[in-house]
Amino acid sequence: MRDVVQRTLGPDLGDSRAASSLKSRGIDALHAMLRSGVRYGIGPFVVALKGQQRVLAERLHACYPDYPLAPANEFADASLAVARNPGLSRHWWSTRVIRLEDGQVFTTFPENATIAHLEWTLNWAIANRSHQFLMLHAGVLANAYGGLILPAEPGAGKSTLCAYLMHRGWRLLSDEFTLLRDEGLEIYPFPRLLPIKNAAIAVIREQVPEARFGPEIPGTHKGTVAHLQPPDEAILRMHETASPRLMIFPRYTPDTPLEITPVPRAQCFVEITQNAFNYVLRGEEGFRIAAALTERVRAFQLRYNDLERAATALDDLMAEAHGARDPSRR
Amino acid sequence: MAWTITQHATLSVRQWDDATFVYDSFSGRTHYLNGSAAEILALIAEQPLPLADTDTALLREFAPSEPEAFLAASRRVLELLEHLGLVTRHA
Repeated sequence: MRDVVQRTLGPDLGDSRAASSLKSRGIDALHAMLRSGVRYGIGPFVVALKGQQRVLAERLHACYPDYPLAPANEFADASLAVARNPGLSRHWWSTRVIRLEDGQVFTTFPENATIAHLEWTLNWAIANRSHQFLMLHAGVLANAYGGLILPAEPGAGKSTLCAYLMHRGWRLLSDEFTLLRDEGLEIYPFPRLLPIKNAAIAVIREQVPEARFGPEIPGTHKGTVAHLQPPDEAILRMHETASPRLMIFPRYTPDTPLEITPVPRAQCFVEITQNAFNYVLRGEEGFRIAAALTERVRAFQLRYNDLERAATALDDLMAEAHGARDPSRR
Repeated sequence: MAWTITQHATLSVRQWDDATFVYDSFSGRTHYLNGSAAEILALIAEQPLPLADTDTALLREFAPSEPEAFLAASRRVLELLEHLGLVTRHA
């Protein structure tokens, strides 16, 4: 059963399945295109990317194969240019930089960490500019009953839980951004690579053998990172919004097998306002969206140390929230 | 003179459980009010509260069992609401 579809909105790229994707071009053609710049769509956004090195084309081809190419004249929400480090340093020949629209160096990094820094730079660009949305720092997935929002502090295990759930029947909308435009509360997907970190890499490799990981990148400011590709469905349906029904505040706690605690509405509202990147900037509209979301969802705190048990509990909570399951049977 | 809602302020209010949240479009701030603060704010929003007659109006409205303690607490609440910019002493 497909999840709850509200409406389609995004850049005018047509059906993702029909549009030309990054993988539809060979690596040589992609490399040639990257010299002048490639534009591709991710949910409601268009990203422009430029770079001279062939290795960038290879990484794009491997990590973002199904993202649709966008017309060269499409407005870009973020323009990123990857280049050799112009500065002199001990390892200048193997370091890279990313520049944004102003031409200034935004970040410098070893060549093997290019994908990690592309993803982090894009996070920064979207979080600081896309104020047409109220943006929660929250993972978001959907199933047949509606949307599941997972707000969490860094290190709470949000991406790991998203990675597991998206291979267990949930459609990934994003592991990082919950995008809400107005009080209608449709959630706009923004499906990206999932940065799985440190010990969680082995956990997901073991529990989700079908997971498609990129190479491990050691020594980043967040430790070792490996990027996980979303399942094809998440990309193919990245213009289908979902309706929020459940809000879960997850925390991985090694000593707690499973603990689910209801979160009162007032606390839920406070959490939403503190979690949103741009609540203050959105003004009264931000207040109204946060209030509408508070009233729409059922909210719980989830402590867990076992992904499978947590996933089962979330399946049950979502079915209960939808009214498809008797809560007394939990 | 009377206690009034601050001029220019447009307040949006939501209540859940025992908590009241007020968004003030003039300051752009969101305030969390407890029960008594929310009730006094609602009273002033309904109609300005004459400054000289504040104690009488509050006692008439809320009929507290311990009037002195209630009035002392209410004065502190009014000062707090004034400090937050939600109410003002208007001529």
